[in-house]
Amino acid sequence: MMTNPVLFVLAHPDLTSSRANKALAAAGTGVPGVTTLDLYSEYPDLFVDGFAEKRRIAPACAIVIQMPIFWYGGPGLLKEWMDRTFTAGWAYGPDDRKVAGKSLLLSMTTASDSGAWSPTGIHGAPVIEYMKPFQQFAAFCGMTWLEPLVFYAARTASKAALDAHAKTLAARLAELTGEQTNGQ
Amino acid sequence: MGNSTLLAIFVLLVATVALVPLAKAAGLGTVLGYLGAGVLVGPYGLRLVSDSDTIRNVAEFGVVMMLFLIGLELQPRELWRMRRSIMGLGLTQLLFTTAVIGVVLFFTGMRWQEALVVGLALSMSSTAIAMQTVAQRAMTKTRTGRASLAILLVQDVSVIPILAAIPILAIMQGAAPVDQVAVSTNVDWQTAVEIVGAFALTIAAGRYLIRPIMRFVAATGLREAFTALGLGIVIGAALLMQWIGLSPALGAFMGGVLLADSEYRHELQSDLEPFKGLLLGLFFISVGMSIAFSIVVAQPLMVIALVVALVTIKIIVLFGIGTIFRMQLADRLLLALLLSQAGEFAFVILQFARTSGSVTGQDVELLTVVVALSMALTPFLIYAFDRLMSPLLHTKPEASPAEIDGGHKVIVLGYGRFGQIVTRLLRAQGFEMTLIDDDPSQIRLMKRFGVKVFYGDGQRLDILRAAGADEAEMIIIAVAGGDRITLIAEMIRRQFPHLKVAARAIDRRHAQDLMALGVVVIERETFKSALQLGVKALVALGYAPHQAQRVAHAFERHDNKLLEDSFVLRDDQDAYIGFIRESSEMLDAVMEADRQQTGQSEADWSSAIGDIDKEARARSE
Repeated sequence: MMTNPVLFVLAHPDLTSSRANKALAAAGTGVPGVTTLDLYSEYPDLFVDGFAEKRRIAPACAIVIQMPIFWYGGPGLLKEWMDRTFTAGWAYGPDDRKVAGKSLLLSMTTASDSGAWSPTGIHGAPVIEYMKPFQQFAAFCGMTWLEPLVFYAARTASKAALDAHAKTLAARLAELTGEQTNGQ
Repeated sequence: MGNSTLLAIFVLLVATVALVPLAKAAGLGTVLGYLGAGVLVGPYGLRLVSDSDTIRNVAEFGVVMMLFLIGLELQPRELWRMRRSIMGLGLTQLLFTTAVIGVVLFFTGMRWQEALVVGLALSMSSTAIAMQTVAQRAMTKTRTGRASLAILLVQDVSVIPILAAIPILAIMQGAAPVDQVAVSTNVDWQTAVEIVGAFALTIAAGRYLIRPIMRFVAATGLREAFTALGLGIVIGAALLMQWIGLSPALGAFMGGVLLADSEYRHELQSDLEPFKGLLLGLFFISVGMSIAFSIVVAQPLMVIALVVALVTIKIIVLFGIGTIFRMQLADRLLLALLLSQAGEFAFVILQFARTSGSVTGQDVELLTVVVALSMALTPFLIYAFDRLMSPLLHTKPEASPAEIDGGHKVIVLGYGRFGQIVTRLLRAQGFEMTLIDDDPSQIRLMKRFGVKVFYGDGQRLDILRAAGADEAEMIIIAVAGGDRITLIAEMIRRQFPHLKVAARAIDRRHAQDLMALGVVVIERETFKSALQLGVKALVALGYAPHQAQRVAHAFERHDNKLLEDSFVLRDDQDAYIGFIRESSEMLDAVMEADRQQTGQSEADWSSAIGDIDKEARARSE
């Protein structure tokens, strides 16, 4: 059976010292059919090669972005990657909509617990609401927006909680590749 | 040099070559191989060489040289930091071992004076065997290594008062001295002044005489002159100490400590190492030769009982001291086994005691055999420890020095303009850097800036070894000259395959030569700076700074890829040039496209976007 290629984009500036993102990166990378792009390792000097990225994205059926929440968005290099790659005449334009039909899944970690992401919490709204730009980006390019995954209290959550979330992410990736998930 | 001397040397060398690798391969260590070689060629073996005393006199210089090299590894302030363990461990070991052995001998019917002398003689351990084993196991800087050194140093120092006390004991015993030994043992003022003077002289000479001479000789680049200088320093220090009546080994040790912070340390080490190795080997051979098998055959049970008793007592005392000083179980056990033998000083003290009449000749002969056998037993005990005990104890008996220092050791060859920048970057990140350069004037200049650079030729294997290449994580080759860099890289890849190698490359061709050797971290020396100058030029010509940086970046990426892609073609001149030419055309196209894309304004697509915008708005409404 053919699998649908999935591009797993890691957007964390220092994976070696991150607890949750490191674990989730490892969980996702192990799934068959998944190609991992560690953005900050690929572009340590922040100069994104838009042409190379277009070639990388072309065969993927789904793009999954693993990222921490930094100032109500993703890390800076993720935005630069989007700016350089999803350009006019390729991602959108009169004739060419090369990413239309692909799926986009955000997998986020946040240091605050879920209570902070509520109208009465310090962040004032659910985290999903702050992902509106990503959602509109998907819509604009004709991509299918999938329900994001969120891992709260990334630094303080128990090992068991992190393991469970890693399993969920791995299962979601496997599902996107079209492989059976062995009844999990 | 007579034919018989040459013949003796030849026989010794052949025996060494035949037995030492064998013992090493069997996991018993080289010491046992030498001892075996001594037994084989000696008066009780094939009788090819008979004069073991003369050989030992020459060979004892190997021990002197070893202590010099140990001293070189020890900075004066480290020695000062060791003062507690030296006094505590060392004195406790000496007193307890002497007391236990003395009491046992006294109750087996010896007179107390004789029992005391024999006890003192046997309480000495063998510096040669213990430190050789410590060095071979790379544990000089570990706790066990340092504890062994502390105990051996105290023994070394105490030989002098012991030798002084023996005649007094002989007189108290009422024995007529066989030889007329000077009995003036009171340390008078003159002697005290002499000793202080000699130490002051050593320190002053080390700083104001030896160092300038070393610089001068190194600047001439004559290797054998430097080797001669090294040997001269060791012999000079030994002679000086002997002159004031201290042990030559102690003098050499002092000399070593005084030069430990010298930038020529690694050069000295690698120059003297072969001499030390051969002389120590000779020393072990002479010990093997002195095992009088006639005595073993005459009273086998007696000899075995004495050896077992001696080694057992020493092990128990050392193990107990290790416990008092709160060493770990495995460390304690290893220390006890390392120092479980009687040493070379036992020979000296026993011979001296015989001439002064405090111990009978018969006893001395028997004890000499016991001492030699106890030395031969050590490699077996260490072997047994490795095989039986360490797996049972589950803890590693010794952490390797790299682990203690926190690992991450980086050696930089060539501390010129290139090496300096790399070093400063890595050192600021906390890496432990060892710097080596072969230009004395550069070393001196750096010293004025407070940077310690060691003198040495990075092309020499022994220099790399002395600089710690075996424990290092990476070597950075930053010397000038492509051929030299290639030669060094090749040697390192062959000799230290575990090391990460980072190399300075001259140009594209040279970078590929290095790639062929398996060097992964490579940077062309002028590439980045030329590129940066290009960026600055573009900015000066009116480019936006970020834009200039971007095109330079695209250029760099393309060029590095080209370097890798053309690697397979590098032996085919025509194909290579064709490929490069094609690629530069490709580069122009790539850069043009990048320029267009980053330069394109939304206006180009404004109409199209306008449509999509409308469409999107329509959908959301």
